[in-house]
Amino acid sequence: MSKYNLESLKQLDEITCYVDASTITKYAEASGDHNRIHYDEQFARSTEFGGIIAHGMLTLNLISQMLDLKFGMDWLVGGSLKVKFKGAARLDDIIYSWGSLKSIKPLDEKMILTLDIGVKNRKNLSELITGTAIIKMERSRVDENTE
Amino acid sequence: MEEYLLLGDISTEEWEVKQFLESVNDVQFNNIAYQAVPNVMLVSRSIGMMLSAFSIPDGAVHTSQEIYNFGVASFGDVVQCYSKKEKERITGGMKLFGVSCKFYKGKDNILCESRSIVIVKNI
Repeated sequence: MSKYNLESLKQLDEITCYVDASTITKYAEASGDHNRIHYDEQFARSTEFGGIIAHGMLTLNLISQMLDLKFGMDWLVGGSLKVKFKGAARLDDIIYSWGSLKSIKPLDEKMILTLDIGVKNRKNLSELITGTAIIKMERSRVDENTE
Repeated sequence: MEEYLLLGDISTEEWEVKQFLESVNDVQFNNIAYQAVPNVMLVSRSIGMMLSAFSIPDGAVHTSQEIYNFGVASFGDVVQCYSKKEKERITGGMKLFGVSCKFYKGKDNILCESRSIVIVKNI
């Protein structure tokens, strides 16, 4: 397995998604989440959001993809996240994930990485999701001499 | 697993995983290379299953989410999703409750745990 250098862990590569009706429909089909707030314009207008919003989990998927891209199996086996949904993505929004290293600490033979993570709206930079992810990996896989 | 009830089985055939990845615009296809089912797909499917199992009304929204990964399913595995709905709290015309899920491949092979907080407004 390849090693990570500390510098490369400081900022994760963002994942971007354009949200349109097709995106929401495809996600609803794939997930089975057919809440009317995601497709029924008239109903959605009557809610606090005033219109159709994307599924929260569709938005959260950008973070999972970002962690998958960077950490692969270290994310898929042993990773965790805890987030709050602060806002919703709407039709024609462009949303993107971000992630930055908050701390890195050794614990026995493991290295524990804590990352601040989130999803923002490109239009107004509003936060849609904020939270924390934790990745555990073998200590020997982090090259600590690259900083 | 006391208090957790079987919410349902989640099928993870290759076409279903691909459908999910395409729906979230995941073009990296790391999961295809690993033949690994992303746990976030299992959590996403559980949300859809919860809507009917717990009679969650249209307009309900998600306010927080936790995911803990322990392992991955491979394409074609059938994953059992067990869930527990926490006690509802009603405050200021809103109802809040948590739903915890545990995802298993077989009896003792846990893949993932999740906890979602859902809010229903204007009750």
